[in-house]
Amino acid sequence: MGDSAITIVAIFLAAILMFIFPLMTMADKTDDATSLTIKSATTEFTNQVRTKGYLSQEDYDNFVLTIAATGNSYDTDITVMKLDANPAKKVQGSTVTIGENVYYVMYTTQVLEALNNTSKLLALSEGDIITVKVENTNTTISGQLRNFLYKVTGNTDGIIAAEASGMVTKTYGS
Amino acid sequence: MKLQSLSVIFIIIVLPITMVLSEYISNLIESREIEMLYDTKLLNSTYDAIKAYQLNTINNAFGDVTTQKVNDIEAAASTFFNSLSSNFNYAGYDSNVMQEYVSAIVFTMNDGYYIFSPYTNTLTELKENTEDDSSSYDESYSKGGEIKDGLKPYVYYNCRYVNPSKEFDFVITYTLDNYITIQGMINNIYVYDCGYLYSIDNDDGIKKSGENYIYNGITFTNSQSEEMKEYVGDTLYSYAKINGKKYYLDPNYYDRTETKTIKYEGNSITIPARTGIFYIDSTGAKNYNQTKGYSSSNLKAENDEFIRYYLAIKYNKSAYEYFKKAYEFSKMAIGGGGISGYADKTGNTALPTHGYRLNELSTSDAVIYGSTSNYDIYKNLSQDITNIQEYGEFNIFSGNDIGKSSSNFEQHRKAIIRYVIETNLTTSIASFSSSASTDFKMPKISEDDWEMIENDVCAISFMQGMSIGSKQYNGYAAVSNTLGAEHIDESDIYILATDLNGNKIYCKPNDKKLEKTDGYSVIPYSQLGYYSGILKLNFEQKQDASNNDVDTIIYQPMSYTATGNIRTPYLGSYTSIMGTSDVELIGGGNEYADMHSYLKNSPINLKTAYYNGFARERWGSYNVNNINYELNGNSNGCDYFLNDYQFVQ
Repeated sequence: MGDSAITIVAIFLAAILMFIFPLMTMADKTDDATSLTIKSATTEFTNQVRTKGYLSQEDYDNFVLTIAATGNSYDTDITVMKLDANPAKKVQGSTVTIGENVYYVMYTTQVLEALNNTSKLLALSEGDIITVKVENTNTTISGQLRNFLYKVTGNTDGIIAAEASGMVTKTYGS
Repeated sequence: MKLQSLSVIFIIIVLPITMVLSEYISNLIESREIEMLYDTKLLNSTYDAIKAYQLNTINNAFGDVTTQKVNDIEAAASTFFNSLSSNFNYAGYDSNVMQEYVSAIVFTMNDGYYIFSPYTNTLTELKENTEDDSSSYDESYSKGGEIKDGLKPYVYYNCRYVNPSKEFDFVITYTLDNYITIQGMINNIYVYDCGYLYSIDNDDGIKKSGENYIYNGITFTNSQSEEMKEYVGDTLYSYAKINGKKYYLDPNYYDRTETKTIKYEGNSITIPARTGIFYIDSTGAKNYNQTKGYSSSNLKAENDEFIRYYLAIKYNKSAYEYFKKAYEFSKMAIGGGGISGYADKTGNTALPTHGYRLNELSTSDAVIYGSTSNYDIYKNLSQDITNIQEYGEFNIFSGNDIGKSSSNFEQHRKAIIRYVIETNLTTSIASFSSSASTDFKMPKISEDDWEMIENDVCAISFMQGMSIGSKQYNGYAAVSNTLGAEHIDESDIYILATDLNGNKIYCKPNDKKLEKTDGYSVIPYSQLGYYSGILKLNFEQKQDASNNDVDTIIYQPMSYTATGNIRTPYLGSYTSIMGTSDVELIGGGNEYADMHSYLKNSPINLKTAYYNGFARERWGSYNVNNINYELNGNSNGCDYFLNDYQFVQ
């Protein structure tokens, strides 16, 4: 009786060790690799927009294709903070400014809407700030396994996320 | 064997493999993450360097003169290193700490580029005392054999062309626009000439009609002139920009009462001797020493010089001169020559009978310096360099669209710029790695960045050798400088306009609201005394440091007096300067390839304002070929600027 109980425990242990553990490690590593791809794609995309001074539909499509190639579905947030610094507002004789350096913000919907014009391009100016955030919306295998094994604090999706931001260094068309 | 033993063995085998693999992958991920972080840091520091360069050049009237440029670049490089060391948390230590990782910073200019990189100081001297080898120099300052950081000699965007059957052996220096310099032998005659090149006698180029010149539907005549005005500190002055330097007219400088009457272009003009002419010198103060003003006690030459400056400021005809000289140069270069009395920059009038015949020049005529065998540069070379042949064999100056972005010329110009930068930079980076422990190669510059480098003044920085885990970092960053007087681009001209509420604003020429009933109207010449196309740099605020006793005054040069005598600066348009909502996008696959094709169908007011501004700024901009020859041309008597303002006593 004692022997068979031990055997059952051993089979369970063996199953976990032989299948689930390697599976989890591999799934985790896949997520890590995906995360790397996403991070580098996001940084490259952001830096490209920063140096070129515009965001084009083509660049955006390429970016979405690159991240979609990892096999997950993603939520992409692009926030563009447009600098409204009318330098001519500076007053003669002093450096006091009226309405200095105000930013107004365009969120993803407005950015994508702006891309939807004839030239498929959103022109940016020097001083604008672009932030790109990417997060997965599906549950990855690693997430599923984790939920199955230690479902203590609720479900996790196996977060693959990346964020990059920076100031635009070139005004489009100048 | 029992199941338990099997699983233990399995674990013993699998566990180390998994651990090593996961360690390896996380290592790779880590280095990639650091690499991306470094990329961003490098980009930010390069941007800081460009910003420093801009600030220095805007507030310095001599920002485009070579010696001053070198100073500004060195200052920008030092900003770059400071910024980089604080980005890498080394601030407070020696700021040179990052220098051993920066293999080169390239500063591209209008007609060439500087490389800031380490070099071996080859100071050689005769030892004062041969016995103990003691030196007469202060070795703490400069010492032979030391590795130092500094600017290497300027490299021009040059290409040599040799073709014995066409009797060609000369060098062309290209720039970021359609300005070229030719030096060398054509038909066994030595030619040294330079100018803006356009297609001529067709609708896309410059046409001549009598003494007038027509470009894109706008006629430029000798009799039309402008009087440019802008504020310096609190006062509005008339000025003219000559070789990149602005000369202002001060109507009440000298304590003199006499007047002088001369005849210019058939009109009598009376010049009060009170008038002085000044420029802003490198300390920011007004300097009146360029001319002595007018006085009967001056030498005649001194008075004549002053009068020409006076005429150039009051009756500026730079726009006309620009198109006239461009037409004449283009006629010589590609239009078969035949301009009587035309002299090149050496003053030689015995030029080849059929002009320089550049329209016969093919890309396959390009060769390497010092090489007489043909085709070298064309077929060439190492894998790191994009050779000229890749672009195909064609006649460089053929077609009717020179000066436009679609032309063969433009394609070849970009190819040469890229070739020149790549060849020198690979060598520079290779020689950097010879002093380092690892072998470095130039990283591949993306096509997008090349496009930027070929069209704008840029800074490109290269950083390599920092350990980032599994490998060593090797990256670059390129940032363009769009605010400088170095190079007048077609998008560098803004238009002064009035909006519906009567506010005076400035906007881009491709603002869709311009000259529309519900938009802006171009401020006419009759209101200003000059055409409303203005260089965008003039809208930057400036410092007046001429009075040291009080605080530095910050002012806007482009201002106007509104009702109630209140001085108001022109405001940037919200639809094209601050925002971009109403800008017609140009280039990059848009409907219009360049500004010229956009303006083709624009209202005549806008076109006139734009082209007068564009041509005036280009004609007045600094050019190394014209250095110090404002008055009488160079030592060969080749004329420039003030020689076009001849008068009768």
